[in-house]
Amino acid sequence: MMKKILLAAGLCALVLLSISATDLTGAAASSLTKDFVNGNPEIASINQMSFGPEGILFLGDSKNAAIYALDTGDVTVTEANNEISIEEFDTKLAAALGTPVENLQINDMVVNPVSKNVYFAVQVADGTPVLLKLKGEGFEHISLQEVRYSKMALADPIAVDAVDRRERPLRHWAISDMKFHKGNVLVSGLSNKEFGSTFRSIPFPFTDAQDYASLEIWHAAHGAYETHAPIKTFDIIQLDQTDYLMASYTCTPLVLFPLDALKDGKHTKGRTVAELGAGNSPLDMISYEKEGSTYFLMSNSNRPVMRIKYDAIASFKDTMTEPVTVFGEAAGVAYDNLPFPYVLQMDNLDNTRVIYLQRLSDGDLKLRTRTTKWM
Amino acid sequence: MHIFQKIKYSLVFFCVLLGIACEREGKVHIDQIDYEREKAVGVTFRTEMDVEQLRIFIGEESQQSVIGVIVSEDTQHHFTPVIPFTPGEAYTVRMADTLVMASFRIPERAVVPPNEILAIYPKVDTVPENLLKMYIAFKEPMQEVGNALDFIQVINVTDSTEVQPFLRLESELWNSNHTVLTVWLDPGRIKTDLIPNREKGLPLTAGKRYRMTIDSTWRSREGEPLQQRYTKHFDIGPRDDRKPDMRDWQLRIQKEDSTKSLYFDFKEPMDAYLALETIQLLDMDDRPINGHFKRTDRESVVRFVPDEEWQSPEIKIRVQSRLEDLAGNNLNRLFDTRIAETKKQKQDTGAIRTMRVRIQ
Repeated sequence: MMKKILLAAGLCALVLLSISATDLTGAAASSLTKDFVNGNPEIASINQMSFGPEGILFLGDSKNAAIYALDTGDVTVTEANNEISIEEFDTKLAAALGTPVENLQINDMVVNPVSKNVYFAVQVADGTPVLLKLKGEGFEHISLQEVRYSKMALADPIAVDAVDRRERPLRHWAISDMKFHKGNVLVSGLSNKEFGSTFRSIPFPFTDAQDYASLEIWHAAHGAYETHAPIKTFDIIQLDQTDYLMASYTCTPLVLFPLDALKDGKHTKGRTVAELGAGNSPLDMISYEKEGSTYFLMSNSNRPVMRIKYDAIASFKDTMTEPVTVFGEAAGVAYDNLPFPYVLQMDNLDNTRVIYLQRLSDGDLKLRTRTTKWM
Repeated sequence: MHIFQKIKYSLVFFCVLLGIACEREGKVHIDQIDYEREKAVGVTFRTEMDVEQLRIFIGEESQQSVIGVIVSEDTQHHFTPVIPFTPGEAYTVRMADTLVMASFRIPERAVVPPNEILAIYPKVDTVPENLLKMYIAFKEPMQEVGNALDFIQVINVTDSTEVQPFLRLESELWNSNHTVLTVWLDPGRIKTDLIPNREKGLPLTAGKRYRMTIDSTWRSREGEPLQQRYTKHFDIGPRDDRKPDMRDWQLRIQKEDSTKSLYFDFKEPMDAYLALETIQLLDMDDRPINGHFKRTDRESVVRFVPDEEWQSPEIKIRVQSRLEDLAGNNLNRLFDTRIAETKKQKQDTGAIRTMRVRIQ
């Protein structure tokens, strides 16, 4: 009898323990999403995407000048993914949406680092944003109508003293890149009215706080500081225990800014470490590790994917001030051209593979994976 | 009866039965296309088949089924695709992905508003060789796919060569309802000594004449092409290396004008949109004077139409220094500046400049 009571007590204790353990996990999981609300966020466009922790997907909406954090619930940890190789990707995507291919545009592609699922932000000709998840060779639609989300409006640092509230048309921001880094959503953007660049760091979970900075770069060959250029894409690099924004601009300087200096509306000068050649526009930047070394990959509008070694950036201590005189000549930190031209979208699939969307010479748009061993 | 004959009759009977069954169960009848705000948001069909076996495809060739949601009520089913069906396209309902059971076509839109270009700014015939940007204003919201520059061609008429003066951006700069596009002339080429500037020179050359053509195949959100091909000629004048200066401006009220508008003559053409949104009028107690700015037929002149009669003989004008001329020079700085000069210049384009004006 006693044994039975002890056993029952033990079982009860176990159940209680497991309940409290569940509660604890629940509390930990919800700390980032506790302020999320359910409903229709009325997302008007998805220009950029970035995954944070716990399957939280950040959507950059240029039309609403806002960032949305979406609880995708896509948190099943997956390691093994089959090789992905999908030809005529845009045709298949268009067929899945039941419309001709010219009616669609792929704005961004990201991989959920937890589940390894691949997400696509697609725009329809009438402006409707569509969020899709790759499922085999098909797609699953992620509805934006009824979601659990949190929203952050992008404050316009220039229009603080907006003059004519009644008649003044809204200035349009285009979000050029966005990444989640150590509890902050980092956003680069450009405006339709002034040619300039603003970089914001927004703490997540969202509060009322957001820092913005105007950036100044040394443009080799200009003989001048170049203040008015929009960042096209960026990544974060740690050098000597300090995080740096590594920003890539149109025609194509690569510039480092210490992240902690980019706040409070300060005007910050960056250190140009490379000129990657004119007549080109960078599209996407990611990093990966291989055999103990870190590499960065940058895809481009008019050049193949470039690979830059972390060590090359770390050991380049100067800032470039000498003019680059030959058109299209690169200078500063060295890089390698990889044999992948016209890579339109690119992300890390897992620790050893990159997934990318490439326009082939015959016009076909192909989604494929490739091991970093061969990159 | 011979055994083979028996089998033959049985087979015929079986086939007839099967045929009847197929006829009854295999039929998919399209009831209607479901519309919402003139968009074909779904299709309603009836069948006694297992609806799980049915998929909808665009056309007859596609191997990828349209994703969507099916809601069933007895033998009637509503299929809602992720985005509305496309006008003019045909769709098939197939069993096991191959066997076409029914088809339907979405009719073309009956009435689509014709689309046209309302204005291309700057409107002036002669622009400075360091012109920074142009605006194209459309009557209807434009398609949100593809690259705008694929529809714009610029020819140097003087030298009979095609040129690519505009900066290609992945994030195109449209206003929120997608009717006004901003295109930048490649700023890398405008800035002295940048690599593109050295190698390619300025995007536009002084003394030359250019023709910009906008292709009529550029479609609106509703899929309607432009009414016609649009052409604009412009001549290139000398470089504008001067900041706009408020001291040069002339402000006056035309007595014969019943609206009592206050005309601002900037003495040079200004950015067509910034000129309307960077100036505020205040009375001497700093209360805003309500009214709105309008363009005039001259780009160097805008007018402020007050909501009410002018109350005080003197007012204040507040101007955000981000107001630019055609070369991107604002009240604070030149767009193209050497390093020594940059240091002297204020960078804060949010700054406000004020002046007092007697209006009577």
